[in-house]
Amino acid sequence: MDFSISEEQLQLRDAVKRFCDGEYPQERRGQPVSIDRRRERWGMMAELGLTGLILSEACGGSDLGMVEQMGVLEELGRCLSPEPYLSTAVISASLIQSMGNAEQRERWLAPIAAGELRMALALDEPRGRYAYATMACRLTPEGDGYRLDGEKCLVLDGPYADAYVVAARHEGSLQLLVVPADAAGLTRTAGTTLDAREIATLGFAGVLVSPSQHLAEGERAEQALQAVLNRASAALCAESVGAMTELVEQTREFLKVRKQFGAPLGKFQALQHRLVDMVIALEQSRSMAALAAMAVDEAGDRKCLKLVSAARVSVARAARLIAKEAVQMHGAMGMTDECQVGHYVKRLMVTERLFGDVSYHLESFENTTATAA
Amino acid sequence: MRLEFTPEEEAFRQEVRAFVEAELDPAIRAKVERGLRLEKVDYVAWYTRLHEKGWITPGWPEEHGGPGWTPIQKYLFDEETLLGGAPRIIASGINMLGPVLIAFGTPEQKEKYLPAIRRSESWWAQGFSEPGSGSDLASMRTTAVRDGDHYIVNGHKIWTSYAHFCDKLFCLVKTDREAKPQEGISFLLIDLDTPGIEVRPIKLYEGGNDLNEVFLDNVRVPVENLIGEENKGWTYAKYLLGHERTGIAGIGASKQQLLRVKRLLAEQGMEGEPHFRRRVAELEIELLALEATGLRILGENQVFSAPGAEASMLKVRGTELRQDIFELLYEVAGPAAIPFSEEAMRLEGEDPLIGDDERASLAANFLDSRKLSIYGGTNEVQRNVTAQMLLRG
Repeated sequence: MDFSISEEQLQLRDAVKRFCDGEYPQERRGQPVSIDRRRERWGMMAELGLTGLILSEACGGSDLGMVEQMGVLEELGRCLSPEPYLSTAVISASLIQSMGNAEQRERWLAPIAAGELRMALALDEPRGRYAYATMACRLTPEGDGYRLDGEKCLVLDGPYADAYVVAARHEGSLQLLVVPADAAGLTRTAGTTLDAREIATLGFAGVLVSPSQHLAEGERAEQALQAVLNRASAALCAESVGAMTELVEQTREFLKVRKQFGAPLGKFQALQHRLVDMVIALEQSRSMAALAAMAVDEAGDRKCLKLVSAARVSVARAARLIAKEAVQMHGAMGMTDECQVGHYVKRLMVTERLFGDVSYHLESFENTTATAA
Repeated sequence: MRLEFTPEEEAFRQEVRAFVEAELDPAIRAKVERGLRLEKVDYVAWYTRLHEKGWITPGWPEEHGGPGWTPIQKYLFDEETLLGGAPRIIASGINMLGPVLIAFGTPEQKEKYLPAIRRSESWWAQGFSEPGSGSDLASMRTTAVRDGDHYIVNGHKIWTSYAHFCDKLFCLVKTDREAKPQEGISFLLIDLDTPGIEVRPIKLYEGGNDLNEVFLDNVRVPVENLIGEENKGWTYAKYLLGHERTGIAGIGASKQQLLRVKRLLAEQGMEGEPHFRRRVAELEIELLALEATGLRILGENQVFSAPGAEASMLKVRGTELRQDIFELLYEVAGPAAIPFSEEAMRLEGEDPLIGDDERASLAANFLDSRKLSIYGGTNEVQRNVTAQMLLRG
């Protein structure tokens, strides 16, 4: 095992860091931004090669892996970027790249690499609690395709997406489909997350899906879904590490400058030790995020699921500790909307619940280790 | 970045594993795996095997008999030996004094002491702590006064691990009582059979006696037994403590004890019990995070929030995790942890009521594990050190 970061990976991180420092100034993080401004930013990210990072060169991408993308996601998490990077450049890009035929790749991936297309994953449903095996969205054969009926919720980056990857079932068999946002019979209701990002609820009422929109079905689709969930989880770990890094850094600075009882707070041992425990949790999360990224790039299905689930549990617990301690050490200031701390705390709380929570990933880790023994 | 070890590293792991399987006495392995007490002969038997193979001092440079391994090889060696049920390296000569002698000793001192350490002929005890000086080590009061070509040493050392196994003592002494606490300290090598020395074992709450007091009453020590310069001992002690901490994450030992948890659960038909199943999963994940961090430290271009404090962080996390595992073992024992006898802690002497029920040693193991956050610099001191790195400037 080797955690060394190559010079190329380091340069990529530095480039993303420069972009982020310019585009997301500290005092603006967590504040609303106009959609036009964000389209502009998305174009800049494409110019930097970030939206097509994992796509093949034929689609205008850079053909890199999760390990490289981890560095990008960490920086985006560090400055609370609200761009649909996870939805489009991680989840949709990898699904279409691995499952799509030549025509589908041509149609969807080149625009992603060019920064002209934003996509989102429509997976969760109102009744399910990460119950991806039993989805209520259903497909009915119609002509040489299907009609799609049902509801999807918690579609991150859903309100402004140009198209969706939708998971639905036909007689129990999983189908992965691409549905454009302007499809007849598709309605979307915009909402916001706890951390002020956009989500949508999507209603499908007899939406016609032609064979050209089918990405995968059956066992192949199940494997693809699990693989992309692993990838999304590894990405969420990297984003969280970025957010935690900033939260620890802000707390550390605060302990140095805030004075009470005639001394900086950092002089008090009770707080020193708690800061150290935050740093230990952060460093372990950084290790686990890297492990998860390597697992996505290299490991077989079962080992990948095991390591990624372990990383999600480890990072979520670290995030909770760091979030609570950052608020406590900032005192009442840490609970104000004006203070940056709250925005980071809320980002971490949302991230922790996307595509499985601690309980879900503990269960999945237990199952992979129990059956492997 | 690469998830797997290289084929060469995997081959090395297999070589170590095969060596442990072939060379480790099964009776010693059984004691280690069951958390029973080891005698000095057990340690010496294993260390001698390692010495014959050239593997006894992985941390030493090649010219002094080290095997010339990469950091990853050292890591794999630690893990495989501990997982295979081999005794830990408790000899302070190997992990503590050896590196100090190599860095600061005279050619004569190296020649005289290093080969005997490698052959396990000479066992060194560490004379640092005193009754009034634990975490605040620099406040120590044992004195050494120059008298011709000797120092006369007077004082009282305590918490000296395995002194009853040892023939020699490396010792911090005050040579300048006027100087600031850290500046008047020297590092002396003392033969334990010198007149005026008494070693007294301390009986511990779980029945063990690994710790001792050492009384020094007008002990005459030749001046050539001084390490480096007079009054520079604090520098050498800090160097030594840095070496002591590197293996202290104890990843192999934790893995071994987690296997023990699973085995004991299975033996009681409790492996599917949800509470224990979840605790095992949680601790396995914690261990994975610690292991990944230990390996990440060895990688290039890494970012750390507290550069220089990585070893302290590993010590804190590694020891607290191992304590959690020992606590879980104690839970696994249930009511079988109630009976206790000194006899049951040794494989040779079985208690008639307890028989060979391994669970009867788990309470003692739990009590013993509390030392992990106390020795090698308490976890509070490690957190202080780390906080200083984080908050300075």
